[in-house]
Amino acid sequence: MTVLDSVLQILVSGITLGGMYAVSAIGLALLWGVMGMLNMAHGSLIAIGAYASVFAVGYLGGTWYLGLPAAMIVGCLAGVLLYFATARWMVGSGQFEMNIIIATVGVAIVVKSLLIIGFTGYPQRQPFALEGGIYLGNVLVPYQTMLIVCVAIILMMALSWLLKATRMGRAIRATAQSQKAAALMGIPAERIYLQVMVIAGVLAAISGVLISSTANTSPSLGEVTMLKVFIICVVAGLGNIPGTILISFALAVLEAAIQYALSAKWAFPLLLGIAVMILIWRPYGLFGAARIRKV
Amino acid sequence: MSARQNIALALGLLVVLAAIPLLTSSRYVLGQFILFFIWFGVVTQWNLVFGVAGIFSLAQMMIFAVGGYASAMLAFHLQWAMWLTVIVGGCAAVVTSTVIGFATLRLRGAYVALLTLAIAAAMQALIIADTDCLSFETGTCITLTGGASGLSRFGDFGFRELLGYRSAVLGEYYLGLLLITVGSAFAFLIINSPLGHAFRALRDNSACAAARGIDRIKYQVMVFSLAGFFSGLLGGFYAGHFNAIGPSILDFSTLLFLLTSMIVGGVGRFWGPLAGCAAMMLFDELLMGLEEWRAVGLGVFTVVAVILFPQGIVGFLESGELRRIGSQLTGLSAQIHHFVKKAPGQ
Amino acid sequence: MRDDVLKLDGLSAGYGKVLVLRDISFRVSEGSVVGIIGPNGHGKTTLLNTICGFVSASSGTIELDGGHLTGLAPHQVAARGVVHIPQGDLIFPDLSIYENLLMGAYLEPDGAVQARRLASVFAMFPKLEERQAQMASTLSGGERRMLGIGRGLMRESRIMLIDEPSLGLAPIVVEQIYDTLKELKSQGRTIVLVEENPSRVVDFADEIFLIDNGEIVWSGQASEMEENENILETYLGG
Ligand SMILES: Nc1ncnc2c1ncn2[C@@H]1O[C@H](COP(=O)(O)OP(=O)(O)O)[C@@H](O)[C@H]1O
Ligand SMILES: [Mg+2]
Repeated sequence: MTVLDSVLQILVSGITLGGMYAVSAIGLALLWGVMGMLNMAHGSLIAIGAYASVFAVGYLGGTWYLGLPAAMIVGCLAGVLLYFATARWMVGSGQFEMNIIIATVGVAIVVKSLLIIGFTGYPQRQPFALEGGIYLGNVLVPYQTMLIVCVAIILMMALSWLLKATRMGRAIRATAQSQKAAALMGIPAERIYLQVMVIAGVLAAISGVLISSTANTSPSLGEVTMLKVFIICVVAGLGNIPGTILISFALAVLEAAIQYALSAKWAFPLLLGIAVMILIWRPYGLFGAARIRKV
Repeated sequence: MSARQNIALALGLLVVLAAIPLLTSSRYVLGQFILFFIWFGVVTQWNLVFGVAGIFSLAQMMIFAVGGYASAMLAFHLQWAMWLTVIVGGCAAVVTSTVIGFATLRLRGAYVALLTLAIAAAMQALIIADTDCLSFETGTCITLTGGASGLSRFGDFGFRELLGYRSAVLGEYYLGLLLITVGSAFAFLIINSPLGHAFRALRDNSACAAARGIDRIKYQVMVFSLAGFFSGLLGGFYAGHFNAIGPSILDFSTLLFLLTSMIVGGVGRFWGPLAGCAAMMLFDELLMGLEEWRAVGLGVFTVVAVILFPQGIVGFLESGELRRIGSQLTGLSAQIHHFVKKAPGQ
Repeated sequence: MRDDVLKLDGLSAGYGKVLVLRDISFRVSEGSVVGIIGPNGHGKTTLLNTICGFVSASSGTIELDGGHLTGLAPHQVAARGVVHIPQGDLIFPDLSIYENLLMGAYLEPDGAVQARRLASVFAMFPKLEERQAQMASTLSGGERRMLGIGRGLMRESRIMLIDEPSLGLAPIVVEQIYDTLKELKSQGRTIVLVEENPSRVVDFADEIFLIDNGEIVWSGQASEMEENENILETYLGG
């Protein structure tokens, strides 16, 4: 293997990881940016998406690619349920920031237990996957990698279009910037919150399908990813979506490099160390501002 | 309640708790009480950091684990006496706590929560991944932290030799009671000291917080360190009591259980940790027979409790809401009484 | 007699336990301009925020065209046709000027109507048209105020509540803003204008209410105000 091959290898796995992280992180960033909500049930949404695909294809016998629309539908429902189970009752109250953490944590416990009850704790294979790949020099680029990157890019473009060019998207961004001004325009905050929850649910569910396709589907799938996604959001600056996407890929390539050069064991602690350093240097993340929330 | 009433209530409770072993000798019941002491003790310290100083730290179980692991490792590898290693564990926890305190000093709210959570997860991941053998004893690989299966059989507090096998649990019961008494006294002092008032003022008024930034930093780290000490001691006590420790102590679910106890009890309030831990452990005990549905019940309980009592149980009791409901009930019962009295005449 | 658009009756409101407004009653008739003046911190903004639903009334009623506004959420009040141009503009800093204006027409999803209104706002404020692609955060104070007013004109309104439009602006810019307001008045719009400084309101409003310490202490025609110099002296320190 030449140096070039190594670099290529790192880039291929880094971009695959980055695509999955970005899809997941955007939902989290959006929730924070619009409603100041730290969603500790994000990992549950990820796991729910993965299992929706497993269920639709493995249990109901659909074709492999139907896993994705199945995950999207279930993710959408999960977002709605999460809103009515938690945020609906506390948004706007003084202790929202803290209590929403606890409430979503409660939901996370429930979801994980239900998944274990329904699907057992044993890992299952994610059917949304392609075999084989092509060689770029000495480096194998699996078709699965291309699939993941394509899905991630399409999703990011779709979200960008939704936020920039639609009435709903503008209202979401407006609410994130000033809820009071948005209300003056006649925008009902609750409707926006529900929409954002649905978007976050769908994105997280899709990321769950992608992530489990490179590993396995298990009830704790979301927890590990959630932590990495948290780090990404914090380093980027909570709520900043373009920054979040950039940092997703940057940290993923870094993670791939650490895994390649040292071992998988050190990847997470080292990433964390880097994140702490960045935060000590810039307490609101690389792209975050002290007050202004950006979407 | 005045400070005097609080102290009287606390002393009364202490007497009741001290008398429990006279009422039952069930090892299970006493064991559950010891576990309650441990969780209540940790939540009390966490409440100081989270509720009083207003730092959204989720690292308290990690600090607890540092204390526990430090004492277990010293007892296991160097055969130190458990009494000594617990103290060292407390000190190790102070160091960890102080470092985390400084690292998160300039961060706000959610950033602190996410970062401390990630630090705890990293510690667990590192322990589980620890497979480098220090030595082979009787053919088994001995690692520094015990890896995924943890460390065990490294010794205890010696109550077994002192009091005999049957009464050993009593020694640990009273040791636990002593620890929570000292820890709660410390918490009481902090909450009712000028420091506690300053923290509340700072938390409620960020403009004031900015104006007194220097003070905040000093006190924040101080509370972080001292709360870390008691948490570390409790970690060591945990290791000694169970004569074992493993990475599952850092499980998300344990953290959540305690976090929920704190919130459900009432954040930042002296009686919050007691009310919360008691409620959560009782509820957990009730769900014992449900097996896998137990966690579901606990999760649902958490969500419902936060929605119904956003200020926690203690906050709810203090808010006068109860008095309002009470007076409504009295009014209702008066009406019913009235109605019942009138009814036969009609 | 022209119909009353807005009717306040015995309105009291405040924050928590502190009552800021006490027993406020007045009517605004169709096509008239009402000026509300009073010293800083005496409840003018709170009054507008109570009408808009941001502050809940502790007693009294607010009616718009005979229907109750009391107890409605701010977005519902907006949907009834109340346009509030708040103190400090509250524009969306990270939306472009064009997008800010579109947000003003959130309740008006019809594209053709939007385009027509946008054209008339641009005709009124050519500067906004030049810079429509810029982020609103890049605007100067006067331009922000124009954007705030323009955004308020993007939808049909029964009444416009305008809070301190001259606050913090250079005299020449204030002049421009008031020219715009006069144009709005000549279009026959119903306006409630809040100002701390009475001098411009006196020229502009049909009727004036003086608020002091959360109560209406004087009301009358603008012309009467000029005759009662002593009122100004007592309440506004001359
Ligand atoms: N959000 C708020 N919370 C508590 N008190 C407020 C708030 N906004 C305004 N006040 C108080 O209400 C009073 C009236 O304020 P305001 O209506 O802004 O006055 P004005 O617009 O006449 O200058 C002031 O004493 C102010 O301190
Ligand atoms: Mg004002």
